[in-house]
Amino acid sequence: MMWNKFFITLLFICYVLPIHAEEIRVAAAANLRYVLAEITPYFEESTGHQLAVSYAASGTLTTQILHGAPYDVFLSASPDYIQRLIKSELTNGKLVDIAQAQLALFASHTSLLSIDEGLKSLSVALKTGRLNKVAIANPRHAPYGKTARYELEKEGIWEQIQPYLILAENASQAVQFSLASEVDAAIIPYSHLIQPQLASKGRFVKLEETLLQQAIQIRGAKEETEQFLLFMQTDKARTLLKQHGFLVE
Amino acid sequence: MDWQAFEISMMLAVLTCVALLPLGLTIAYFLAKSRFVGRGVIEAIITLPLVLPPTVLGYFLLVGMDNHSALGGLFVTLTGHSLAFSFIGLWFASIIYSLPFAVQPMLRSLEEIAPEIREAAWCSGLSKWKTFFKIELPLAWPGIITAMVLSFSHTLGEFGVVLMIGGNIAGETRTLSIAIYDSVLAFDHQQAQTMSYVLLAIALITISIVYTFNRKQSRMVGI
Repeated sequence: MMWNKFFITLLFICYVLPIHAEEIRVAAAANLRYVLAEITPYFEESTGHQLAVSYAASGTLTTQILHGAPYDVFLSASPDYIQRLIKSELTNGKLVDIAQAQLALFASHTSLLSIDEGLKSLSVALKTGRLNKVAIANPRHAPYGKTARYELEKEGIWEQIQPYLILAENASQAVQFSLASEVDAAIIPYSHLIQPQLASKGRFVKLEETLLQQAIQIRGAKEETEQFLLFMQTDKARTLLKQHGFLVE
Repeated sequence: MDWQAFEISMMLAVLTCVALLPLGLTIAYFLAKSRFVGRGVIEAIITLPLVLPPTVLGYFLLVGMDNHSALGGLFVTLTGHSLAFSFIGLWFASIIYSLPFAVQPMLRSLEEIAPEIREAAWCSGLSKWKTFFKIELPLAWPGIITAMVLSFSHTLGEFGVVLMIGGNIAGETRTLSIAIYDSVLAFDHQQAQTMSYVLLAIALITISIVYTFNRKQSRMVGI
């Protein structure tokens, strides 16, 4: 008797679970965390659909999608990863440009480093041996890390700065690391920096390079996904993106 | 407090225990009874998830559950869903990950039963099944409780494997421990703290149950 009940419950749960999650599944680059949280309620109100957003580095999300993760749409911080998915025929092939993301060099109030001259300050601190740690996202799978690396290469200090680098899992974690007292500076998303809880904790200088944020529908996505992509191009979404420091044409 | 993550964690832990009770008992019973050459190897394989880094286990599970692998492919043909990054996939992984925590206590308590008791039961005309359910199971009860409690709390605390094969999908694979990590990254320390306290409390309660229960049991049999 008891066993029967167990199995019925088990079957019930297995059967119900996939239906339980009726919402649109969004795989989003970590730097979109704050802006998407603001866009979500507007989208849900105007369409009646729910969003379930997972944040991680674009490279991490790409690996997950390549292994069959059931996302409906992918918002990447780099076109490279989207291209890889298109090549593997895992998308519907229609690219949507969302915005250009900016990045900045940040130093918390505990850091003694002056960053007024941007990356040049890092190169000076390197020469005088006054540098502690510098946090960036991992260039191997995080677009922000890749761009940070590119900036450091442009400055000509990528090789020399290696022993001082701490690599974060994604852009959000780089922000997290930037507040540690051992960390002199960090290269992190500008969109995170202007959040009140961070803006009050340090100073920053904007950097030159930008990242193109694109979106694409994953193969086999729910019909409603189209509406989400359209919504991301509405004036409402663009205004919110601008308010969060993204560049929108 | 992310109640959805709490629900997922609880469901995962309960279902893992439900699966491990018959599975663990079968394996433990088989191991307790048999004396053959390869026994050590089998015990080692079962204990492996205990010593392997979760990333290694996670990697093998990720590759094994991929849509192009034998197991993952079969699952897709049967259900139309992919196994990796799904709740079922996570459940499957938890069963493997917590297997040693279920088998070891069950095995120890089954081994402690003196063979004379079993033989006496057979002499009294009890069948093997009846001996198991009426004599061995009640005697091994503390080990089984320990096994279930440990499997439960271990599944609840699982992080590395879930991170690798779960993918942090809300309502499907975002467990409490992943939600804590996510909250810290989102600077939501308030939420991370609440959820950490919840997990701390559950862990403390479950482990206390194990110790209290085991002590009572040893007093009952006069050890």
